[in-house]
Amino acid sequence: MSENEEFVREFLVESAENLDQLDQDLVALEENPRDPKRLASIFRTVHTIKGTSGFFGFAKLGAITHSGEHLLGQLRDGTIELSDRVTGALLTLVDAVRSILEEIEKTGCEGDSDFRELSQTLASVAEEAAAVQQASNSSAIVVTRLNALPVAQPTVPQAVQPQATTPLPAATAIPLTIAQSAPAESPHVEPKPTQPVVATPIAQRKASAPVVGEASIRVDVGLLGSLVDLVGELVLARNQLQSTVNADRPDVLNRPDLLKSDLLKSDLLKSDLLKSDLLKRPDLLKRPDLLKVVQRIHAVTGGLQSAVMKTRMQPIDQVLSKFPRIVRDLAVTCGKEVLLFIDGADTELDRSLIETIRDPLTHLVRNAVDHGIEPAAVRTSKGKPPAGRLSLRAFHESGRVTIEIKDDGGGIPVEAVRAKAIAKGLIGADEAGSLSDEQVLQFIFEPGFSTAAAVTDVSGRGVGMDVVKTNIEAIGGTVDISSQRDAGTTVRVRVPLTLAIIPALIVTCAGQRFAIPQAYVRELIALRAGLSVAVEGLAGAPVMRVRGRLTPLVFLNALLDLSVQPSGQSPLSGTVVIVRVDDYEFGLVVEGIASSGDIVVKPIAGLIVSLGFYAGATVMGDGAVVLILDPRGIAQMEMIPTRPDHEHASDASTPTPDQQPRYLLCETVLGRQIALPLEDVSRLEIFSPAQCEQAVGRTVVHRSGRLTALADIDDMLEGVSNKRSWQGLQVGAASSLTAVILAESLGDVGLRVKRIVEVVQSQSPLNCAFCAAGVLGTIAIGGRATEVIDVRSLIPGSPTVPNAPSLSEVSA
Amino acid sequence: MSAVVSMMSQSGLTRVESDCPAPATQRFCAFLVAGRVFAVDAARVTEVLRGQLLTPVPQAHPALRGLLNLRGRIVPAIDMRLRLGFDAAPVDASHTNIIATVAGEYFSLMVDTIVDVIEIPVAAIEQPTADSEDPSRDSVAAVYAAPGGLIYLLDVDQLLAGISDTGFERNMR
Repeated sequence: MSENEEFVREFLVESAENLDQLDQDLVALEENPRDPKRLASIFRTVHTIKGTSGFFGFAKLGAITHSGEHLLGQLRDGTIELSDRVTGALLTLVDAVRSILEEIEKTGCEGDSDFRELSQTLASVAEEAAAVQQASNSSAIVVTRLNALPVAQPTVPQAVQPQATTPLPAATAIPLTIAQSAPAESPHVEPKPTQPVVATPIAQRKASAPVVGEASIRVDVGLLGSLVDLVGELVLARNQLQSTVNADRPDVLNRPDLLKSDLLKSDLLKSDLLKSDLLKRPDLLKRPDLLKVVQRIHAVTGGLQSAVMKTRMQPIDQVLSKFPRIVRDLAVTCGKEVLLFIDGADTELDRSLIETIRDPLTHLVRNAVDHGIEPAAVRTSKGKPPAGRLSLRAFHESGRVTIEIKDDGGGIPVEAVRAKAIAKGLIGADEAGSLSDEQVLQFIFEPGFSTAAAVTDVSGRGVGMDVVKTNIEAIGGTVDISSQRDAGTTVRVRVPLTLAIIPALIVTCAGQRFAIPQAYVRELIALRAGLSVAVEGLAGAPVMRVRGRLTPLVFLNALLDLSVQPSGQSPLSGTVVIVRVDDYEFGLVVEGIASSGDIVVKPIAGLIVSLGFYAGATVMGDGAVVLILDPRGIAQMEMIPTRPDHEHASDASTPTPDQQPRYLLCETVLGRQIALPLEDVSRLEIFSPAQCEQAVGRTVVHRSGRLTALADIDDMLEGVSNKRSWQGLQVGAASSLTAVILAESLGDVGLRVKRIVEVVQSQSPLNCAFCAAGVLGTIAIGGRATEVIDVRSLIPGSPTVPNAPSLSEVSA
Repeated sequence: MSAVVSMMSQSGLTRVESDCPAPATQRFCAFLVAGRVFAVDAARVTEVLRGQLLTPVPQAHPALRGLLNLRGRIVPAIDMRLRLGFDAAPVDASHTNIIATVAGEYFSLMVDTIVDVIEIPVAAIEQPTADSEDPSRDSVAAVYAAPGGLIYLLDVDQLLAGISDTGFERNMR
């Protein structure tokens, strides 16, 4: 890189920062037009760019910044007043400067866009504003003069487009009462002269922050990255050093409290134990300073590590500071008044994450202004203040960063979303009625749900919400949305602090260690035979009752196909790690817990990630590589069913004698609770609709080489009482089908249910007084009368054909 | 050859020089797998390590023997015996890791022992004969008839592609 190039580069980096500051300053100036400090800062910035561009010979940049400087000079001198037009023109200038700088960065020269009009606009705005100032007593004259003036023309950021050079539309007639300012959104935005735009004050709670970061230097990101890597290695080397020393002195050096006291002079040394120990290592006796050095290296390395890791952290302000400008422009375009409040801009998170959340947050803010907040007239008629409030709040919460985007707009019309979900076939009409508003709101995250124009017109939100969710989830974050009609919408985005270091639980399985990110871990349960926690087997689908809830279990050794140690662990020993992924939990059964602590996440080769079990790897203190498990991937692989969080806990906790019959409690698609005798159940499976095929009026799925007919339990019961055979499934657009696979003696049949509630042991006898076709009787479960299904009567032919009837017989 | 090996085993860690090759010849890093001599482009090799601690990756391709820690970097190790279709080495057999780069990622090729870095005249590199029975055929890019016998020249990218193939059925429960 030549010296000149280097200077230009520096100029570009510096100017980019200055332009961001300019955006903020200009928007803040609107609020407080006579703030001399702000004005001076803006003037200085534009002047600097002008001066430097002259130095490098960037003529266009020099010309437009000169015009801008002139306008600013008048503002500063008080000859003109700040109006929306003036601000609009200045913001357009900032965009133009930015586009030229981008061009310089890419090509090294200014590009061939024509910015003369902008210069003219800036000049005319200055003149016009001066005229307004002078003629404030005789406005009639000004109206005629103004009509001949051009409006601030939006400058195209992508300056190469030919539109940028098309001549200005001949002076648009604008009455003086309209404070028109065309934002630099897009060249296609038509000015809307008929829509009165009222001033859009934008409040920023952030007090006028110091303009320059005095005590900071610019460091190359790559250099920072290698610094982080080097420190990581240093930490490993330190750990190895410690374990080398400790290996010979396990009793003493594993006890830091002893080390702190001057060990070698202490009375402990006289103890026989230590003497014998030290005798093995006479060198240590001679060099007590070695231990002290190890201690110091330990402390210094730890401090170094945390300091270096801090360099990766950046305030979220980097993203949030762009929003005053974005919100202002949007508000002007939409003809709305929006007050923006930003809180917690100094909340820090990892650099790489800041980049990732930028687009999703921008999207959410746009949504809030565009669709959430109503126009002033509508708001007034609803009895709200005419200016909408949009608040952005960032804060640390239990080791994560939460960003809250809250508006006080019209909220999301839940009924419209519900109707659209039904129309799009995402849920059945009957099913939709039973969903809570919160569950319905989740549909706006469905891909494709958003793009339909009809929905955006009605419901407002939803454009690209699936992308927002996908992006946030990709970095281990979550998106929650809550909305209240006419009260507004709140979106909460939660992201981890950093991706590089995470707290993790190190578990063991078949002699190998694995790490589980703590973010997923809910609780640990020791599994021992004879304890009250019981694993209930549903032939191949083990479940465990955790606080009255049925939680599916995944045995890590079986999942990873690891042979169990020959020492012969009984299947009911080990630890259950209750893992939560989104809204559902499952238990990961491991041998034991080795440790817990922060681990440095290292990337692993794509061919290992694609296995689906692992999210990465880490290097332990002893230098060994440990794989990090990916609970989300495991859940998907094991087809763990989604279970809503608010499910009621079972109260059947008292142990009952084994001879009591056990039932599988399910909720049907129509919402009734039924019980199936457990001996009729083979296992539970989840199918995706894609697996289902239609054959001879039935719905069938391939299951390990066999065809299994699926039927809806509601339909079967209705069919039995109406003396007709059951039909195929209405698969609809459900994302998955939960099916109870019946015992083999009943044929290859699966009953589709909405969800599995739990396995219960009936304490009340079967009441046969209320039996009906297909129903054996009723039992009371949790105080609720529950029908016990007579599975045999539902399956044609099964009582007479003891061996499994083939599918053709069933359908015959 | 034996001198080179013993020198390498003494140092434990040897950096293979990869100077600019003369136009007429190309440098290859030759190694032994199950008694046969194979070689990979020396420009792709960054270093050679002796016996490293491996962390197995359950459910991965059998030839992916595990992960090793290369100064803080996680490197997958490929058992060249299994990858090239030979029987697994005896449990107590020693092996050597050849660290190679593929598309910016590091991989370790676990071989029986390293032979030498050899210069092969480009003109003498021949197309492999179509021996469909040979399981190592898919990654053998060329052969060179050295005075002492055939040297099979391997395509490093192909070695990995064979492992990332979806053809490997995961053992689903």
